[in-house]
Amino acid sequence: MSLIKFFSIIIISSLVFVDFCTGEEAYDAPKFDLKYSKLNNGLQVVVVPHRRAPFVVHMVWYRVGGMDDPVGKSGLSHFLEHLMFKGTKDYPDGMFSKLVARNGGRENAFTSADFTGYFQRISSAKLPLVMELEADRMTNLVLTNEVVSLERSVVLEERSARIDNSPKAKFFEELNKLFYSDHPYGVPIVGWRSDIEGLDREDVLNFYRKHYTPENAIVVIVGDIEPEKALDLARKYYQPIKPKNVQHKKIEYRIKQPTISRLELKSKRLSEATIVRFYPAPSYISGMSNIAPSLELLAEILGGNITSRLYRDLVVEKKLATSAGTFYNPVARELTKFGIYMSVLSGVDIKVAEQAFDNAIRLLLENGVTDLELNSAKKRLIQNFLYSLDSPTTIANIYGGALAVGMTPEDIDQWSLKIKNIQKTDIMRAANLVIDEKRSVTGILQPSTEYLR
Amino acid sequence: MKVYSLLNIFILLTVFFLSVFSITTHAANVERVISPGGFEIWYVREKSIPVIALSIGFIGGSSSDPINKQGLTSLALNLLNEGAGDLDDKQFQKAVADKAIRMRFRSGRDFIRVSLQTLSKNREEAFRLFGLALTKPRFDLPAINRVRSQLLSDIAAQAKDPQTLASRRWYKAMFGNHPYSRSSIGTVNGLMSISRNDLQEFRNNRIGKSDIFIGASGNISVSEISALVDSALSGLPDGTNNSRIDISLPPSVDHLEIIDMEIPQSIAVFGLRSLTRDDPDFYAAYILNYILGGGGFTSRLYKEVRENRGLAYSVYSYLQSLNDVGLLVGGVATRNEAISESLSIIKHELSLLSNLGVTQGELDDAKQAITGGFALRFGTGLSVSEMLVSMQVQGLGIDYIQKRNDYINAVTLSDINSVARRLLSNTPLVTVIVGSPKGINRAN
Repeated sequence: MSLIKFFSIIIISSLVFVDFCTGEEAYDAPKFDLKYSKLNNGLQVVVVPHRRAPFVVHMVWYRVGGMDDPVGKSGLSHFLEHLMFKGTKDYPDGMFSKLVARNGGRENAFTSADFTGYFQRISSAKLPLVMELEADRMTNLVLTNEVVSLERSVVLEERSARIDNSPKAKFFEELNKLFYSDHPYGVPIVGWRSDIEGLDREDVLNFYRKHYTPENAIVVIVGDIEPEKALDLARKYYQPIKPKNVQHKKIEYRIKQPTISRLELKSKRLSEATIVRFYPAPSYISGMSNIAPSLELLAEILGGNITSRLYRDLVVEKKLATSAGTFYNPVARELTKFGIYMSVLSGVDIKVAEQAFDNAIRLLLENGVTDLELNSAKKRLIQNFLYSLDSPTTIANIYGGALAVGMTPEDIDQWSLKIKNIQKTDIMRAANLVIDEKRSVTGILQPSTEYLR
Repeated sequence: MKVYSLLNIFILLTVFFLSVFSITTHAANVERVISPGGFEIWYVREKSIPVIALSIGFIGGSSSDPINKQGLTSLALNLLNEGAGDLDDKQFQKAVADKAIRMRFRSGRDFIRVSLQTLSKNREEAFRLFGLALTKPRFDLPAINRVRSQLLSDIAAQAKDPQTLASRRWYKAMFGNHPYSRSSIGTVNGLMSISRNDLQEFRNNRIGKSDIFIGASGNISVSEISALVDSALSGLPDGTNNSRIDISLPPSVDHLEIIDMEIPQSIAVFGLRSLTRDDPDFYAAYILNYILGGGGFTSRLYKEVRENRGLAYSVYSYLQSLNDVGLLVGGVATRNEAISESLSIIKHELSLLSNLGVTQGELDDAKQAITGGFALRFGTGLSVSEMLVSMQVQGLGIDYIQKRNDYINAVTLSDINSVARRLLSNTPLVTVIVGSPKGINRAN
């Protein structure tokens, strides 16, 4: 749970280290001794030293995620992520995890729509061990039908825990599907239940061979180590892996104009209503990526925290909501979404709430944002970014996530400057482009009035 | 507080496992500093990182709330950033947001834990605002009403959330009428009966200089951190009127409770009374729990319930230390048809541990994992300052970071196996299931 939260925060607030300023004041310039290298086999390596404690974060990111699942085989990327812990010829039967644990390491893995990541945090002296293990499982995974079948049950339990047990999660799964239509972002990362039930060993291994290649991977090392030494180790363990030169077909995905633009559901397991609206929005590397920084600022001004417009308006002043805000993830391989939500205070008429919600959005488009709002949002985003200096894990996630979606270390270096240079007119151009009701999807989730014992 | 809750659902990143990481160490250089104002601060200086973290523990958490005003601590803490001193809620929050200052105010059963994180360049303003929040909160009526309604809304939502509900009922079953049975957030009746006057009483009598533990980490000098702490906290009252909580009696027999909810997967919380933090056998119990269900992908429960049978995504156990009580708490979630099988396996594993103990190999592996992983606990400034407070709260001594791995390594096979017997044989097991479980004998 903590990990998910962590990710959503870093991805939402996004990227970078810098020494710039917003307006008047200059920031301390963190010296960031980053080393970047692309090995002969196409594998990218990023090393950032961080000296607080004597350990390293070692991550391998593959540029494959839920959006790459073949039609009818949703959940395949995520299923493979689980199975990657099962063993190889040299390290069979869960040896990977045993060795990591026995050497004082902690590990985990995650799958998003865009990428799949594996990580260990371990004493710096043990970096060669985890590199050897990760390099080994990049190509040597061994799976039996029995192992696949048992893990399928585990994933079905995971789906129950995350989605099927939660009316809110099920609602968002449906809303996402409606919004994205046949765009692959509309498919749940964990997979539809019936698809998961059909995934077999062959599906997994074919997918693995196609996508788990050095040219499709990024290794990130952050921690207490000399960058040159870490790079040497990366070359030693990862260089021998042969590239596969798999051609990945570039598909042009579009988010279609929705034919149905509204989803309303009720559940007796809810105590308050939620109103949410999705708009298609560019990411940093999809088309129109130059408006992504404006959208980050817009998201912050409108709903980034408790000083933002929606919270002040809907929660504090009008007393219609218990919370309200925005979400926008600009670090994505494809067109993504800009979202606005409010959690309606119990007892408030949903129509009244929705009117106020619409009104807040209309006021933004009519009147724009103020200098005060813009400067404050810039300061918050840039200073929040500086906090990542405090945490090796955060640094690793920032670089890994950005590179995995196709951004470069330079994109990260320039992020603060981009944010700093945004003007009010840029914000309004982005708002007018994205906040378009005709292309939006609205979801209304309400408690059913039925008596609950 | 609630603003970010929805994000977790939108960004559907799935993780492989939520393990309960329990460990720590690195030979951090801890200094004991007495500020001119008389505050004792445990401090770790880290010159290379321009961020400062301050953590504070106050004796007296939600268990100290009056029985008819349950939720007083949670309401008061949630109001600390709603205006303080001359600043109203909007002014205060804007000042905090413009410098990206991070403040957290949380209530546990025995302690209130608060923290501040700031970029070093904003330290003066950050400590000033944090001090205002702790010493001069305004408790304006509109904010009281709003935050109260947010907490009531959280309580209503939690009553329908199977995980939270299972946990709530488990504490109820374990502690009966003792204050530990209550949840920190409070009750509907309790929150409704709290007045502005009660909140002012809270500020005057529940947090004070006599009951405070301070930890900090940052790139500034000892004298500067002292001055900042003095500037922030000098306005606290000297003493408090927190009352001592009675010792709670353990349940005398096994307890199984089922709460029906129409969900496909049953959520179970199980556990028993364990050792207190100051028990000489605590480290043996700690390793025992690591082997049972604390050790991520290598624990016995993980292997038997998840890996070998595919019965759960999440299965775990952890130790919890309250003032006078230790607990071993575990959880599992399995489809309704098979939850009884998961629970039987878990019971079987508990009895195996009690009867046969662990092997030398398991003990050696666990020691290496626990000692080798201690350094990982010191990854961020906040994790360091939180650790420094925990060390004081638990009476561990300023050299704990140096000594902790020795304590782990000193545990022998006979120590751990006798603790296994002491803990697990004939100790009543309390289990709560939320869902529509099949094949469970409800007569129990």
